[in-house]
Amino acid sequence: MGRRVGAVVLAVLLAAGMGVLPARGQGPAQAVIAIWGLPIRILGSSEAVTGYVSLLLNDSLTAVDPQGNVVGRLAAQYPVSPDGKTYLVTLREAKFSDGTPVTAQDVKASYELYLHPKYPTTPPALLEIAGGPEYKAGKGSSVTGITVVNPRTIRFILNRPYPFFYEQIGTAPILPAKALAGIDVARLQEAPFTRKPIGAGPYRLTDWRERESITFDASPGYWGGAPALPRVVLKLIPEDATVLAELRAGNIDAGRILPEAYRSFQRDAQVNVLRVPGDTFYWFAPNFRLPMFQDVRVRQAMAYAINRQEMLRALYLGLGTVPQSPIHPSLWQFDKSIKGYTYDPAKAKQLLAEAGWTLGPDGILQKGGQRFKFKYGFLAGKEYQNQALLVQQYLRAIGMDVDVEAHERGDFFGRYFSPTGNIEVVGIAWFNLLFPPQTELEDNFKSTGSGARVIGYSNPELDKLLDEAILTRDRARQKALYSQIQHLIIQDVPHVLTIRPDVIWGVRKRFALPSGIDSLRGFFGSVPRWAVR
Amino acid sequence: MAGFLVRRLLALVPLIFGITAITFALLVLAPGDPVLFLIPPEQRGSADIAQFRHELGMDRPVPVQYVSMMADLFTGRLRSFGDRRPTTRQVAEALPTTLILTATSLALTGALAIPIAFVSAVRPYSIVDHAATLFSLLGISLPTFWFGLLLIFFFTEQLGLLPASGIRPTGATGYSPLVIWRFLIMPTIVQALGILPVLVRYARSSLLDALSQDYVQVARSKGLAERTVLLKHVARNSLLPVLTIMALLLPFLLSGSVIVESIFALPGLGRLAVNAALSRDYPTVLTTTTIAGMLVVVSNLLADLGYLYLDPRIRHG
Repeated sequence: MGRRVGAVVLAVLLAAGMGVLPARGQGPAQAVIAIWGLPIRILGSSEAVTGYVSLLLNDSLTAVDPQGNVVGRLAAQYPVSPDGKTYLVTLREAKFSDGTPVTAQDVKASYELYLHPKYPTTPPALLEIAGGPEYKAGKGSSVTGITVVNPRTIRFILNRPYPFFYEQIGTAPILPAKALAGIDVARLQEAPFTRKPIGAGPYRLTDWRERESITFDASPGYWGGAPALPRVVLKLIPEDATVLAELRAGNIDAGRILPEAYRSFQRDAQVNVLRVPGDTFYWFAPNFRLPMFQDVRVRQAMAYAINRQEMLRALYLGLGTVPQSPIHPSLWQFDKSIKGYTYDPAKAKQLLAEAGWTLGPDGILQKGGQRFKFKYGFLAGKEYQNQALLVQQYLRAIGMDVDVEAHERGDFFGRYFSPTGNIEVVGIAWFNLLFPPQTELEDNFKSTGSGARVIGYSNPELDKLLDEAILTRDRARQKALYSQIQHLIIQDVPHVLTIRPDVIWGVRKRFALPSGIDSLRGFFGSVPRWAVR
Repeated sequence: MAGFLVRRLLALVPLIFGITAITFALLVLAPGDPVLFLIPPEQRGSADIAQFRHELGMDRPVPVQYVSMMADLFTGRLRSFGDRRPTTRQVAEALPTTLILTATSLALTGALAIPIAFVSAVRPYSIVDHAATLFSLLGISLPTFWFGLLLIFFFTEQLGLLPASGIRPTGATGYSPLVIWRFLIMPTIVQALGILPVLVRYARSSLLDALSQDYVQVARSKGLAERTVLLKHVARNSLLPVLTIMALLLPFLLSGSVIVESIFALPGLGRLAVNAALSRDYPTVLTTTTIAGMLVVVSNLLADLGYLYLDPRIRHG
């Protein structure tokens, strides 16, 4: 009797279990996208993933199209005064995901939030607004350069002509003033809004499960019309191999593909493969405070010594590019004509000899009794380690004695965030497209930039070019300046750029993706336009 | 009985403080500064590090930090350095997955280990016994990671039968067995395989030991059916060490499931704890350590209560 009951219970469980699983193709059309990490919070975080989520939830006054032209988003009209200092924005009729209209007051409240002294990630363009720097320094009760003209119109007065203003405020989402009113910015991370956001983007966040998934449903009042895809689920799957199996089985709709699986997915009848230049590229940088790295010939020799094509083949099966510039290739500032360093160990040795370094009896370079020996520190992890080991071999081949040293996260970031971190050479990656390229360049290469200060890098000529680029209004002149900047960076080698692995995504064929996706950020930005076949 | 329970529960207090104090000391002694780690990258040059340190309470002496965090933990006010949410809430979100997986793995292990050990012990050195030994050796030798991926390859990628990620379908709420069983099959098998061989070997030797006891010979000589001898006299007496081993294996299941949780994308305690340790999230590490410690002590207590039930000598002694 007991056994029979048990069997019946088991049978019911099995049948019910089969029944409760959502059958593919039923219910609202949705895309389940596997992701390697979920954001910690939606506001006040500079994580790449937060940026991707923000693309679904939020909208900004303007954006930049693939050709580098400013286009209006929440801004319907956005003229600039002849002196380049007054920006008048008329808002289009748009609504937040809670149904309230987007007003000039919301724009003001959002920008004042980003300019708050305690706000962690202020977009640099906002500091160009009159009174912005003072407000950021805690010396004003409001930003004097922001005026609400009427509910649909807002005026910005800048301290100086700043042609990149509209281009750069695209990274600053407009949020509802009412929701921001109660936030204690000093304790921003604890504010419920950062996990229950309201935005003016195509989706609203409807479900957040810690370390599991985040669900987005189409925002009913979105000004751009209902997205083609009513529901998007970002599902956290940390293990790459699991993503591949789930994608193959159809349990998820999109996921990142490992280089090893690229060829087999190209033959998969159910999956489309998308391959774009990665947003991440790798480099290593010397500490300029150490005399042996101060001679540019030494740095150039290091650049010539690295066989980047071989690195790409060995580590990513050749699926990637050798970066010739720190700027992402999808951006208009990127100069295609730049030819960086090719693998040329003979040239490297010649440059070292010119710099006075000669091989000692132990096969290691020496000069004035000093051996060319240093520590190459990197973040503990397979990708960084593989590269470090290859770099070690390449540099050893030209006579440099390199100790590679893995640091766990707390230790690594502790050192790398600090100008007194005692690094000798650091191997790291950089995420493009999180910030405008000017910000990236200033951070890494301008003498006042936080990244440049960590490695002690300063080049007055580069500083001058970067300052000039940001104030030039003529696009052709801007392009020429960015070209000069990139040439100078390549020539001066503050960083030795190594490889930019491609980002490869598999998407089930029942989704039709728009064309023109040329970056990971572009991939996530395209999600609202995915059509279900 | 009540006195026994109270004594055991009181012993929990110094134990938990001992475990957490050592954990905290190890965190503090590890290289690197958590404050520098937590500052957003673009602020690394300009942030007011001293202010940030003060906000996190990290400018106080280490013992004060520890005591303050423990006090906040037990009043539910302790917040993670990472997402700044109460750590008790983080744990409450992770605990169901871990407890469910632990329960299913233990159930599967018990359901398989005892019959296998029985067959092995009743016919020692037979083909069945050798097969069980071979199985045990394989189970101990197979890396969890590899075995998990192997299952995923066959049951998800090739056959499309089972989901390989998550504890429930997207959109499902709660943890109804009707909904989650398909998600639990592979993680449970992988988790159980890690401990099954140990249990089989222990149970087998314990059964062999009991089978050679005089009281078994007496029972047989009284003419009792072999089935009665085995189930009533041998099994009951040999279960005690098995129970001990199961209680000892619990910490492994509760805290050692991080690999299983990563492969199968399960939002459990293991991943929470490891991620917190990697990102120097002291409050979350302290909380997960405390919870894991308490679970282990409670499971040992349950094992002791099991002894009382199984062995009248302990009960009456």
